[in-house]
Amino acid sequence: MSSLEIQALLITFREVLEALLIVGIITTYLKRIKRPEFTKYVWLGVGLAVLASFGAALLFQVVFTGFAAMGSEMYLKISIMLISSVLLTQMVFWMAKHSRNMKGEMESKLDGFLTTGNVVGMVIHSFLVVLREGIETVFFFAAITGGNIEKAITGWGAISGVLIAVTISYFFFKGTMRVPLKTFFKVTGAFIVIVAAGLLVQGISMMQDLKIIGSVMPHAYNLTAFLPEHPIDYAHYIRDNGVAPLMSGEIGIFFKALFGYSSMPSIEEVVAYIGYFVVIYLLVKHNGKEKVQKPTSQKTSTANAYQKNSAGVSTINT
Amino acid sequence: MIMIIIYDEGKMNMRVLLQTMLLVLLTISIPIEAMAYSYGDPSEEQVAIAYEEMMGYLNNDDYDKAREMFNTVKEEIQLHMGNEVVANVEEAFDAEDKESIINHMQTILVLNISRRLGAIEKKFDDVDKNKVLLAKANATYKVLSPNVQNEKPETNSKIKEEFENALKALGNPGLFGVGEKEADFEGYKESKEVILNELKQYFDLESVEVGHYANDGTSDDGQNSTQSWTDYAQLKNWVPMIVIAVIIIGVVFYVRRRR
Repeated sequence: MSSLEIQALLITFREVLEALLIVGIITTYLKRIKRPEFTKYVWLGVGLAVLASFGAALLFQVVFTGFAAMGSEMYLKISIMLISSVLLTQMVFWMAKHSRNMKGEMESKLDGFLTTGNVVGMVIHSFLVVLREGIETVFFFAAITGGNIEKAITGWGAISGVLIAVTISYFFFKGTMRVPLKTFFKVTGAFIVIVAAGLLVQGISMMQDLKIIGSVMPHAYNLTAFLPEHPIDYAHYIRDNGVAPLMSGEIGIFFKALFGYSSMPSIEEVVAYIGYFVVIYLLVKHNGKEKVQKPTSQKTSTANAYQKNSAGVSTINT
Repeated sequence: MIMIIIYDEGKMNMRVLLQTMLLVLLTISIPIEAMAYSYGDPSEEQVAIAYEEMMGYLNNDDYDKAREMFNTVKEEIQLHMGNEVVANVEEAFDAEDKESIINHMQTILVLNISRRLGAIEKKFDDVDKNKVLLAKANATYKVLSPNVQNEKPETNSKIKEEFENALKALGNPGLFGVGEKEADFEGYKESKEVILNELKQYFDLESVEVGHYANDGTSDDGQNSTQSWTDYAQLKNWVPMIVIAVIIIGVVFYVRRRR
């Protein structure tokens, strides 16, 4: 059990989990509104994205190899992060809108919500989200193997990570079939908000590192002693202080990749992170107040409305 | 906790939230001097960037600013190349001897190239890291290159060519057989020797052996450190904060007005 395999496992686990969370939300939604026939297009988007990730790996491994090309990687990463953050934010609003429309309605009445445009949007969304995770995986693999991406892909670590993530997602989404869509959207939406906020601040952090944008306080605080965000920070901390930080850099990089954790963020990152939550909270709440139809006429009593969903599981709408 | 803030259906008091934010910001707003792993451009070398900035200030005889710039990389130089080279530069600053500052800084740059090239040799199988280290050595040479080009153009093209050869010699693991290139350790060592010898002769140095102070080059991870200082006078440094603040305040007001 080499450390390389463990690192590969952690990488594929978090990337696949993140990707499946988004794809799972979309497919669950389609099943809930009784339009499961569209899920195959979503999965097609996922498949194409996996292929495209390999294409990206090939590009970086074989084509961009000169001195001049080395910096271009960073700009690609920044673009991916910021675009993904926007996409996920859009998704949060979409979910908020749809869970509001659920107010006590039978979920089967929602056929009217689905247009071709919606479906195309969902497929593109799945494609882009998975593509991001794929390309991220490629970069992380290159980092842990010293450039030999293949070594990480073909090891048991990578495949185990995928399997664990798939298993967890499967049971999670299977379990949520019993939960009203509104609650389901709230819980998964919260996750997405955290991921999107993390991507936003990572994008800001990278732009500051590359000096594209400035900072009035490059290091707002320093948690390296507690949890360094990268194994290199861990090593530097030992070098400079003679003692090891409390937790390993591997844990740090895991949380960094998943939620955008930073052990030494700039003040802009901190304000943007907190501000992101405030802004999303206000807008979601505000739109809700504005758009909600008079709920009194539609509110069903908390009588148990049993109905069969597409998975054949009895659900209770409360 | 944040999930609760966002999705709590209860009466979340906006004022409390904003006050909490302010409190958090105030308590953490203590500047810290520290180095951290950076996502900076891998093909950039901070010592070389600092040298260029210093040149700009020295041309205007602004020794204070040039020294400030030197201080941002002083620790790194001390760590990797020892106290002596730093002391030389500081003495030259004390004497306000422009020529001497430039010479000692150029020596540091050559030593830095030597350090990076040496680190590659010690761990030759890590292609990914070595590409970055070589790019940093190359970026360091780039700032010296105009000088060499002026006086000895043939030396300049020779060194540049050897950097390209060294990059080829690192090889490429490829992906599933595509683009695979054998690494050539001997070829790399030859290129390294040529580069260092040419630099030694041109800058008239006795040795380009790095006086290791805190590490032996093997722990050279080629990482940039994040910048822990900032220039308040530059508008560029205020723009991101202003943009973020405007967006947050804008949304807060928009929501309030619509209510």
